[in-house]
Amino acid sequence: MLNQDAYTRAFEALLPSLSGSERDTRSAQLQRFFSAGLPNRSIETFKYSDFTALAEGAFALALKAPSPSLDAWTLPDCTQQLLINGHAATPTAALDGPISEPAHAGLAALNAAFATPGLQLQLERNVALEQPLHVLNLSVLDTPAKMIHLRHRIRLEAGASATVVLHDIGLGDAERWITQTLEIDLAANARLQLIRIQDESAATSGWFQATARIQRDASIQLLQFDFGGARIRNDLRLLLQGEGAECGLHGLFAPAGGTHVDNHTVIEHQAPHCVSREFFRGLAWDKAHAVFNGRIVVQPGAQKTDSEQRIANLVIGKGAEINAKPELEIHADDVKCAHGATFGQLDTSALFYLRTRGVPEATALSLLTFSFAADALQRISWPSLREFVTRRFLARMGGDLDAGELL
Amino acid sequence: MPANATFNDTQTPDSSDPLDARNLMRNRTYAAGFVTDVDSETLPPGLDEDVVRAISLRKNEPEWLLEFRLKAFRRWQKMTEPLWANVQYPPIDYQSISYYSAPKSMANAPKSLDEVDPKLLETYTKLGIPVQEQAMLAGVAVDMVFDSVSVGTTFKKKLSEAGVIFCSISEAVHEHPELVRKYLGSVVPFGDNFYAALNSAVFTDGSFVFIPKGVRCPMELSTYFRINERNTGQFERTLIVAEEASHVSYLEGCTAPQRDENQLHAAVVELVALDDAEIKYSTVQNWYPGDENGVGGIYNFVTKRGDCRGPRSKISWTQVETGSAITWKYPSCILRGDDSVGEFYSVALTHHRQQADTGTKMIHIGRNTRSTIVSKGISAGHGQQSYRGLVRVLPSAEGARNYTQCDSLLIGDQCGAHTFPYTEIRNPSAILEHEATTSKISDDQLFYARTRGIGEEDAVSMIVNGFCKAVFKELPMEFAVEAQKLLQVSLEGAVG
Repeated sequence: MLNQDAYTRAFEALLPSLSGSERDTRSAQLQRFFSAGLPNRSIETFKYSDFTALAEGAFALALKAPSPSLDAWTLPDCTQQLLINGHAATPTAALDGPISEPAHAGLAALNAAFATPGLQLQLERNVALEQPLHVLNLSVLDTPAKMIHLRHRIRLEAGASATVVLHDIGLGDAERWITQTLEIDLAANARLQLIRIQDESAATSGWFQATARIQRDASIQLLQFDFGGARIRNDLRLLLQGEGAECGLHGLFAPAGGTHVDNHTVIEHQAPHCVSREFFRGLAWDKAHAVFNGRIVVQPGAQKTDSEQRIANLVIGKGAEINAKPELEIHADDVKCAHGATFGQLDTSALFYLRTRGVPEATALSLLTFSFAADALQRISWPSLREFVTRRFLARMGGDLDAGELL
Repeated sequence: MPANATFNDTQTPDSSDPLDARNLMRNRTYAAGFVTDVDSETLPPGLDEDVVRAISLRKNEPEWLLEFRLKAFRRWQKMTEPLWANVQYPPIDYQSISYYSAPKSMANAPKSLDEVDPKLLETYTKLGIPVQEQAMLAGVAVDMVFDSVSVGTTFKKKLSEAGVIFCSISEAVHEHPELVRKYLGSVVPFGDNFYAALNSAVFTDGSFVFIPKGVRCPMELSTYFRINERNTGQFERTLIVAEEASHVSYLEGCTAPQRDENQLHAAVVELVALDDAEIKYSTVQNWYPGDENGVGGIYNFVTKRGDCRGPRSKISWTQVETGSAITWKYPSCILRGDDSVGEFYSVALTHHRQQADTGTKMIHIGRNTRSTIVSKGISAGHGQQSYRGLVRVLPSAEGARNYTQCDSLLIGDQCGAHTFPYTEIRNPSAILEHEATTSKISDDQLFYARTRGIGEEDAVSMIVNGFCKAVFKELPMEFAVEAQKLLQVSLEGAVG
């Protein structure tokens, strides 16, 4: 049963900061959340991810917290923007724009009822961001049962371009519940590289939904890296709406311990002559459970679609599990669509080769595991971020590989 | 309940016995009323426990089987119809179906070939089917005394010499109750899914095959030869058991389109392979697909599952699905024995308004189990086609291996092809590959064939056959030839 009292209490605490009209729309969203509830396994798209465990919790909104030292995450040559517990250092107003069809009505309504504006980026015609924008999204919590809800929006007008990093970091061991939605609109010829790094604390339940609407000849590269969390669900949806639009959706999920990571992606070809590429790598250590569901939809009339999707998985832990489903849904005939999924072990002959060269077994295994993940890591074009993420992966993997030597 | 009670009992029924068939029928409550005489071979439409009891009584079944049916029926009542399949159809009214009828209702069957739909006859001619057989397939009420009967007799003799049991499941219930009781429902439990539960409650007939230890069945078994049991109705139940080190190849169905007035087919097929046994199950399904506008046609909701129970056993499914308005079918393998092998080869064709959601499940439990999936989907007209497959590797399945390939061919811009391959991997040593492609017939290939003087329709048929070759080569020879022709006929009018 959904703990409506607790959510109502949290909502009442939020009320004083809201304007009159906002109170009405948000309380309508809260009621919508109460009637839709949280997703459970009987919903096909949540077959492997159950959020009902969160229903009974008495979650309260997280409060502002002082900023911890940011040295560990500060990268050179970029603009840094800071969000702590859902609060921006300098509050910005939320941008208007379309709200996409949610992956789950209940989750979306919960987010809409409580969300604070997170990243709100708008670039005018032909404006290019000179430096990457590095958004540090921290949750700093020592008391349990707190929740953070964020709503981000990126809008690039015709010909604008940007590189944005959404970097989620969890500090403290307390249990927390974080939802985030991100709406992206790319006008004709706009270009966006978006990198999301999910590195939440080990007691985090998180839902993240990104939807991008991509117009004529615009392009997006979305890279998703999952390193942390307890129960994580990402819904990433790229809608190719104008002729000649292109998208790349790539990523790496590497859960360990008892983490559950579920990536659901949708690439929808709504217009002809669009190109999409999707390459994911997945690893699961210990007793981790990873889910990948990649759906490619070609709508009627989206002729000359060129789409390719590859997903490679490595189950490492004895008790680990990976469920992968590359889906194709095709309603046009003149298309080139291929997808593939593999599950395998590290190549024993490669391992043998390294051993004959005097590389100790543990190091050889780490090297091969790293090279498996490198396919995703090397897609980050900003060198200092690539180095940062690579070091993060090596730390996650453990072992004695020297990051300096590999980079 | 008197074990030998039949509907033809001339004795006055004991009105105090609530299980007596006539009382059962009289006590029926629903509004449709009870009009049919109990001596008739058709039960009135509707489904409740009395109908299940009446079917069991009519078939003179032992108590345990009635129990099985009732358990299934009670479970079915609590189940909801599955809606996850990627098919659209109006809701089915399960109370408007008659759950037991004589093998063939002679009353509305055509009296001669002249009365049969000329389109159907044209198709038969193209497939090269002899006139006598055409009559039978079209359901003409003729006395079927021709070659096949004698074929059937010689064939039965040969089988019994080898010790193979091949009969209808009703016959097997009486002749070999210990075997049926041991294996029935052991692969597809009575509450497995909505349609399997429905089938378990009301199944009327089907085939039973038992291959004893070490025997290689001397011929391909086919329902085709069991003329008398051919029209087994809409709820078939097939059970094939292969004992240690035995081998059998079983063919189901027929390449010619069958006249069939039933709307819903919910069959269950169970295969059991013990140590070192091999079962090869081939299907060519060509039920009435409905017309160009999607009016009529069969709903084919089938549960097929094989259990590789012993080490080194093998189960291979081959299917060619060209008929039915809606197909919902996932022939599966449970790879329980170490080193056991599961195979699934499928060609599914949807034309006009046909919809198919078909695929397989490979459940790897034993060590070093291997499975291969090759699925070819062809969509034309407004056809919608989905491959839905599951490969599950359990922690015990050390060294499991799977190869999956599913390709779709689209003919026309109004059709759809979809792929939903589920994989659930819980063992680090598993190696899996999944490949899928979707394309249309290449203009270059078509142009090449046309420059060589090959007509457009023939060229398309050639290319489609090439596309399906990997599956056709798994079919027994005669079947493969017919399947090719069938594909050609089914695709007529798809191009140009």
